[in-house]
Amino acid sequence: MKPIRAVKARPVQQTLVIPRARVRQPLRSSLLPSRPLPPSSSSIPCPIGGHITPRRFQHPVMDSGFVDAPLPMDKISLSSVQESTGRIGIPERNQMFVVLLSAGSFNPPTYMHLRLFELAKDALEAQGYIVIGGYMSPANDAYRKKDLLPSIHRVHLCELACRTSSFVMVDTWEAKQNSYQRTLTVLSRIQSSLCHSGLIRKESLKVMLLCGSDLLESFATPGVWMLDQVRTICRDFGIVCIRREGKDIEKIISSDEILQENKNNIFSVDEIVPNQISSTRVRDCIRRGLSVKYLTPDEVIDYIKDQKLYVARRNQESGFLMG
Amino acid sequence: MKPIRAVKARPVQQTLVIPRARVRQPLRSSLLPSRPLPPSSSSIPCPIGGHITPRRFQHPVMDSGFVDAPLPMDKISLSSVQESTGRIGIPERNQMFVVLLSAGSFNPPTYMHLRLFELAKDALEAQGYIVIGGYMSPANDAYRKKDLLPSIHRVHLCELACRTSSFVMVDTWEAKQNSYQRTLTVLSRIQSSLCHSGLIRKESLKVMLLCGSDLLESFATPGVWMLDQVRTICRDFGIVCIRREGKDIEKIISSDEILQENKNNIFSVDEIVPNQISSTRVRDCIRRGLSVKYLTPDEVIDYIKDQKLYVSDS
Repeated sequence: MKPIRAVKARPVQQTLVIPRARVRQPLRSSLLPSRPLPPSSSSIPCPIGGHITPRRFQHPVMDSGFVDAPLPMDKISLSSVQESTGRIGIPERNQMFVVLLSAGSFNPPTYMHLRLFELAKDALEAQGYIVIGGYMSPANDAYRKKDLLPSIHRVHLCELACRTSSFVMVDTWEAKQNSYQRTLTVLSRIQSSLCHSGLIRKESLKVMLLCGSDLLESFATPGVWMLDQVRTICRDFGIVCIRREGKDIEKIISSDEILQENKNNIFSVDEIVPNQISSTRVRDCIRRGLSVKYLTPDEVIDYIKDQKLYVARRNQESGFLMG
Repeated sequence: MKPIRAVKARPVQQTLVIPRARVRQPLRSSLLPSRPLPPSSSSIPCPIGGHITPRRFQHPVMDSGFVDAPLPMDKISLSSVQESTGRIGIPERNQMFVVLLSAGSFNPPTYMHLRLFELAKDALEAQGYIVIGGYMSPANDAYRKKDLLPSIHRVHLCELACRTSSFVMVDTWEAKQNSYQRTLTVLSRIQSSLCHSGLIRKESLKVMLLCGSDLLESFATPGVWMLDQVRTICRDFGIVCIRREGKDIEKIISSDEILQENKNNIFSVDEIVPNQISSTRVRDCIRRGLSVKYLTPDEVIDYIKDQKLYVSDS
């Protein structure tokens, strides 16, 4: 459900002017740029009206206009690929290896997000695929959702959240760019990074979008996505859709032309154990000082507490923050 | 929803004869008796028909007929009690301290079970109580539910599950007895153990039953519970009921006489974040070789794998 925006290159060190905003203490994080962070967090009133989301990452921009952020591959299950490769160097039995991409706000990440990977892996492996890795790709700050934490936090929370997973990693590329990125761009980049690494051949690799039925429904909703994007995602990549109880995936697919013509590349997975932990409600609990233990990993909770995230809502009536 | 059965004393070392059963390797557990375990796991066919659940704990029985199992108190929040106690040694402002009891199969324990404690604690503290501890009390093997793991495993799983909780512990007493125990007995025993320990005065302590709406509904269902039990639990202890979305607690209470007359001692707590992780489905996933990661703590999953629990139907 990301707004349709073309990627634009931005010059180095372009800073938004934020009036009367507070300078925050630098965070202890490997993602932290060497300069102190620009002031404050998301959704600050702008003098000309509306709200601005200040950019958190002021990284040097490459000639292509993109910020460099290598794809982590430490958890890619190379042994699965190697075991399956025969003596003449090509995988036996046309074995297909899958890498999953879950793109979202992760505001904050919860056990529900992590469960999607587990469910998808089990379902795909029952179909004969081998899942060799998964990526959480936190949305860019330009996504401008209400209450969206700066991406530096969300990336760190995702890293904490997937720590004990054997195959899920965090792709920071999308978050680090200076502007909104298309899901298709992120999918393509994962595919090319993995193939260029030499770890796996293009013909054996399938990078698939992991999502819930709400995202699939947005594909079928006129005006939300560009049709060629939907077509390319469905045809050249593929979708694994985790179906909540009561949601009719087959109906969503059959009601849309592009989804219907690519239905063999859209996998529907039942959510056997209902686990509807919504980030919105988790944020609500945190704001109200209620416990969120057992809804998300302890490390995520500890970080949120230490950094005092989510505890104060921007109050529009109170105007600007003290500077 | 436990069957109504009176407590009976059993003589020491009474062993059920189990035909054609396998001897299992002893488990590494502090709960393990010094002898090897009796053969095999739950639900073994009995020569005279039906199934028997063999008893796992063959502990020496005390004169009272009960097996000894001290109540753990390591996580009881004494500082809360002490801070609130004034100079003349009585708690200020009639401060009430609550200890929660969650009685169930825990087959296996999941994040849902653990969330109940968190929700109840928040809700009670918003009402001015201070929650100083909580207990998971795994049901006795005599409960005879289908697929019920031997209690030695369920107790251990609960201990692993509540490890990172600041206030939840495992009360092994119910599981260790040689027969089924009433919930009321477990509640009373927690109360008397805590008071006799000197940690807290009887007048300041409230031991409450923590449950979901299904248990509350069973209270109101004729024939399931003995009425005097329900009355005593509601009146002398109290209930914290976690309400799933769509469940009408007020209706359940108002439709039953005993619940209605004690409604001030029944707290209804909204489950703000739906988390319907059912142990039945978790077992199903395990049997089918599917992942249950993020439905229950990793240590619980590792133990289930190591011990090969749930993998095959008996």
